[in-house]
Amino acid sequence: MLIAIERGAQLAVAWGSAEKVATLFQTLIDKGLSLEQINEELAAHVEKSRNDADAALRAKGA
Amino acid sequence: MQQILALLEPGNTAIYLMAIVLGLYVQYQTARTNGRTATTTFWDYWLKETPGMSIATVVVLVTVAGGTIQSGMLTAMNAWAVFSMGFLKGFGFDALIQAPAATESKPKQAGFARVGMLALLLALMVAFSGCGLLPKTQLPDSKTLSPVANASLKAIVAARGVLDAAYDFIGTGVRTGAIEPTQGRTWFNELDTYRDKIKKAQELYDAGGFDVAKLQAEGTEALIKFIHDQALEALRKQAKPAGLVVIWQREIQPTARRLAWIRQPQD
Repeated sequence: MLIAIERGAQLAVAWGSAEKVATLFQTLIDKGLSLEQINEELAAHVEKSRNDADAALRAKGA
Repeated sequence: MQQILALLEPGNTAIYLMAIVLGLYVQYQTARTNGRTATTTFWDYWLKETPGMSIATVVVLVTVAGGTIQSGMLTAMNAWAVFSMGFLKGFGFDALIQAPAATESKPKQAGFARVGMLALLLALMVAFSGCGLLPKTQLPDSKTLSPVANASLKAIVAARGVLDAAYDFIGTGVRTGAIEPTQGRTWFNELDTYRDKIKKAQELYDAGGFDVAKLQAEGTEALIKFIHDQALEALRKQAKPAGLVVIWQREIQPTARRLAWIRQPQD
């Protein structure tokens, strides 16, 4: 059972991240943005995710 | 012909291809030992017993190996990892497609007859792509770009998507305590180098080098997936039960509802 939960947990973190980006993709598509605009929006979002990760690492002293 | 021979020169690609062949041979010996084949030579096993299944195996292996080699991920792996991956693919795919072999009470089947087995193979191939489960096929085509430029820009967008997911993965993992901060910083720094590669792809695209930009973006996407898979494996080893319940409550339950949409094959 513990192994199953552990396996589920590692996949959940990955799926959770993929889900957020997939949701972002869908939101941008639903807005009717062009491919060029999606690229620009996503570039900005990458920087936001990077800064969030950096802040989390700094908060933990890394 | 020279390109084919170049694949066999010393290096990870050669190790990968030879490991696949070795995996096939060991699977044949395993089948003989377990009485799953009545043939006495490797060639009879491949060419005479169930040739349809042999064709199916070759088609799957060529597709998988070709995609792996073209992605460029082999160059970032050590020799043992390359060998393991090649061996397990040869051994595993042959077992999935060709086993069990025909017996007196069970007539021979033609290749591609086992739909369930091929569906399992497809599921495995999707799973092998790690975090690359983003809906690239759903991206709209540009109304102003040429087909080449359009494909190039889609590759850049896909790479950005995977990079975004990878940064988010690091941040979430560190915040929930699932990823050790020092290790997280190492992965973060490596992701930064891939971020630079995507910027380079964008510059190439802007300069009109669409084909090169597409290759750069696709190669970078494969490398990000690789480091992401490494992170997953490390996470599995260091996962702590106390943190798992929290992750389960926060991540699995809301995520499970959307998995069917996320897990779509890429083009």
